[in-house]
Amino acid sequence: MKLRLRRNKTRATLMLTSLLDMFTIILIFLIVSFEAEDYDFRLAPDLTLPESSAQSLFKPAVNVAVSRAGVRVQQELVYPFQNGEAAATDYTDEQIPAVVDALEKVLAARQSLGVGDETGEDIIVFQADRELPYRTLYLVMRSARLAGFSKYRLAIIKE
Amino acid sequence: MAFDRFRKARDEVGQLDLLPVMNLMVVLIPFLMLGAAFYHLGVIPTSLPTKVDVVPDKPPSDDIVTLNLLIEPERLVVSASSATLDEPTLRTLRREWAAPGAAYPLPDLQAHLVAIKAQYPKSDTLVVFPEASIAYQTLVDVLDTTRERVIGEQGGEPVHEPIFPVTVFSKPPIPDFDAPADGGAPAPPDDPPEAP
Repeated sequence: MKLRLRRNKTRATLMLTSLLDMFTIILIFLIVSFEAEDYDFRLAPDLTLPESSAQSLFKPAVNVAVSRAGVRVQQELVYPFQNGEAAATDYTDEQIPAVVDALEKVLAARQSLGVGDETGEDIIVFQADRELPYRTLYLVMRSARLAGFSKYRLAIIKE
Repeated sequence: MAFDRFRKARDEVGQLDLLPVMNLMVVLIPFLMLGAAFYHLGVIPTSLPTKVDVVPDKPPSDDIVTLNLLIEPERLVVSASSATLDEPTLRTLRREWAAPGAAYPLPDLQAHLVAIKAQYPKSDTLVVFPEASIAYQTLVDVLDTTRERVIGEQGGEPVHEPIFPVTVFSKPPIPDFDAPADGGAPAPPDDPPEAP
């Protein structure tokens, strides 16, 4: 009887050690994958970037996203595709006038702010869906060329 | 008696108060999750050929070739062009591989480019002519082969060596691409592309 009373006096405590172990592991993982730099880059939700072993580092630039939905310039849809492709006349003319216009405005705005790379030229980062045919990608790149952009970076997910 | 002494000693062991540490973790983890990158972005520098009327101020060099890579669904073709090399020399650099079902022989392609790079070490430009229907991912896979190669490992990280790091996109058809024996070398891009 006496023994039983003594046993009831022991306090029940929560074992936090294993929980703390788990948190420590999560914390280390998150610290390793923490990116302090904000590239002002928003991945378009309706596309999947290709995977690549490219080593070049990401730098902030003008964002152009090409998906089956259309072409977005700085997150704004400027040219919707029909059935995942541009109009046949655009392929014939090798340019999309709406994209050229939008990029010309962006370039003018950035030039007035003095934004550009070390040589003074502005760069476009293309995010394009991995399944897109080359001719669509080339069409948008050529439209960018006509708007005055000569340097391009193809965004990829590192393997 | 001995049992009592043991129990007393056990009760006297101070327990570490983990609650403040837990509180810190609960604050830190959501903060770090907001800034965590669950995928790492990279870029492939590229450009399109442009027409320039300016005469280059440097004389053409003998040890620089510009390579042209035609990517079709059923074959890969590499050819070279140069301002100074003669046609027979350029023809020796031409290779063609059949790729049934778009199964491109990328190791063979890379080996050929490495051999050309060894012969003309200052060369760095590859003009790519993909067929219109080639998928973007397929194109990136080919470019991964032509741009650089892994030559070893240092500190657990692969060491890369550039092969033809400057990529210029163009579009087929390429003049004389299918008639190399007649002395046809593909036209080079209109101006030197940008360095990556």
